[in-house]
Amino acid sequence: MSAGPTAWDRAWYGPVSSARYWLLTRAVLALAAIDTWLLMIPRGGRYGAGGFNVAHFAWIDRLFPVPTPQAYVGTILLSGFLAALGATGILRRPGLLLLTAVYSASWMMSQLDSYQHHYFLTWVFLCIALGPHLRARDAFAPSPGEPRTLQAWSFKLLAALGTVLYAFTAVSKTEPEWRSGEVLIRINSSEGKLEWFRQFAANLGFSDATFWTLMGHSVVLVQIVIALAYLSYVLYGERASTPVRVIRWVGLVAALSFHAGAEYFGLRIGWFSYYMFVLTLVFFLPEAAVRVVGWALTWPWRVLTRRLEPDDADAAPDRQPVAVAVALVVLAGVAATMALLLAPALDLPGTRWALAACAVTVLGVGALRLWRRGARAALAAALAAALAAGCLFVTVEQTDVRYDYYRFIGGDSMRRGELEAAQEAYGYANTYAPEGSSRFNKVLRIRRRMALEHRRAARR
Amino acid sequence: MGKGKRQRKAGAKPDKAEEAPAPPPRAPAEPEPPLDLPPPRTRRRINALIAVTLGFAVFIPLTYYMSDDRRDERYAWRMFSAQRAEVCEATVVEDRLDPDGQTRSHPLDLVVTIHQAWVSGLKLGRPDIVDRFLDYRCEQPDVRRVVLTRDCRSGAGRPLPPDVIDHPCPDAAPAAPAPAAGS
Repeated sequence: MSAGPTAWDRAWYGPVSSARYWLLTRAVLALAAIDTWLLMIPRGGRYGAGGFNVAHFAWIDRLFPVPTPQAYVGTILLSGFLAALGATGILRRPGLLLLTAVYSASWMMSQLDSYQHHYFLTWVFLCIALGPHLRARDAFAPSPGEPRTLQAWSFKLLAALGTVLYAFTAVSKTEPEWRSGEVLIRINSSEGKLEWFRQFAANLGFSDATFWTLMGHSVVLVQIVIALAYLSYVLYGERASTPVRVIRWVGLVAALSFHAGAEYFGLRIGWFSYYMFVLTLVFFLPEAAVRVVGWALTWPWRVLTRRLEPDDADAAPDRQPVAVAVALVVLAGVAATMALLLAPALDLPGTRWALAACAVTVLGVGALRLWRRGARAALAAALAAALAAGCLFVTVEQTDVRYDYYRFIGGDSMRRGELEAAQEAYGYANTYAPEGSSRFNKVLRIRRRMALEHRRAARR
Repeated sequence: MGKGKRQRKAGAKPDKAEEAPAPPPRAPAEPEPPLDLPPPRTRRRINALIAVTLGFAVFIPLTYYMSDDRRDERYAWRMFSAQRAEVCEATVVEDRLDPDGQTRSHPLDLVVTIHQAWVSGLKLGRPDIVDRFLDYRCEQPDVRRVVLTRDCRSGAGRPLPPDVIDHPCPDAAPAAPAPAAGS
């Protein structure tokens, strides 16, 4: 006699919305790609500065004592590229596991990166890698009114990890300094962004002490509510009864307001809030809303991918010699462009080895798709790689990434008395400086200081 | 009717004509879709992976709360904690062997020595960074002892007791102390 499904089975193997699953995985990967290039590259110059480093784990210190900017920036470029490829749906499990490993290496190599959400993203990428591969056209039915589900225990695991994150955050906020509002007073002291709320409470007759205590306690409550909302998705998934739906609505409002508050305060937490906005909206909004919005947003993508890889392509892989030759030429062209043209154009350390690794990945993925699914699939991989490389180029070219990268090095070298390095870095920064932000005065000041030091040395 | 009741008590099947009309079956609030369960062997592996992942995810922050040292908040989900709200200054004084063979105390300019980001880690007293920094300074040939002092104020501005770490360099050769003035 076989036993029926247990509560454990229902929790982990219950159906999840295909729309939620597709939107979350692709949105997080796309966000991570831009995040790595835009926010993490500018910090690359601090790696190895002064010959000092502390990795997150002692064994890394023994293997790679001091990382260099080349190693860090290259790792970041590669992980961003893999995330972008993942967002297009080209990468399968091995590629996504590679992304998890490369991204983890980027933060593990040094405690200069102590953002807790980078550690959380490692878990998120792992969950994405362990989940089933889903195409947009499979996630969304031709009509937005038709829901689709799939079995994805890794998606439930991600919700469980969200529960753990917010539960521990709630515990951390139960400290006396938080409950009394001391920490909030400190956060508020710099720009007074809670003043309006404090004034409002004062007008209602609340004393300052009561206001801060209430605020401190409310943060704990908010974390608990969010944790419960994530837990409800683990336990009930799409089978939401009215009380569960209420918890999720309250969780939605609580999480959005909490993370919007963090952004309002201007806390230096990178894009943590944006990742959590994605998770919050996808997990807690009603399935129908997620499905309809996702259906509309993915319409161009579904049309494009259907043209590139029609449904019958899986059944009869396209192996005609001409098609195969075209796919190989395009693949090689994209890989060569990345390694030979894009790498020097980015003008950052570590780009040569990183873009070479990206090119090898593209060739590997393309060859595998060609072998398994034919020429059209390989061509789709080449186009996805071109899209990812284009996004990388635009992100670096059209923003202040390089300017920030070089001026930060200039500032640090200046502080540590490495004048030649500072002069060189500020020279690079000037090349990429936005209008009115050049560092020519700094270069002149460095030159004067260098001349002074030369004269002093000559006198001695 | 009475006969029917007696029959039911005796366990006999009631006459259909005598049955009261049954209420229409109530539909469940949410129809439960059939579970798409993986094969048992795969499921066992997945279950183990889920358990290990969740175990790690819970155990890692728990180690913070089980530890006596509360300065290392990595992986503990303690964003904007009271510890982070502290405002600290870090100063370092080193005993160095001077060219004349005497050991003297010298203040160390931290910002000139290491990157500003590491100075922030020292100010927060993060144990790995502090330990590595002390070893790093002791790797300099003339350094004999490193004293790191952290002066902090709590989030509310209350001064906290200074945190002083006196670290004699383990491999430092003993040196003659500086002669007293006038000798």
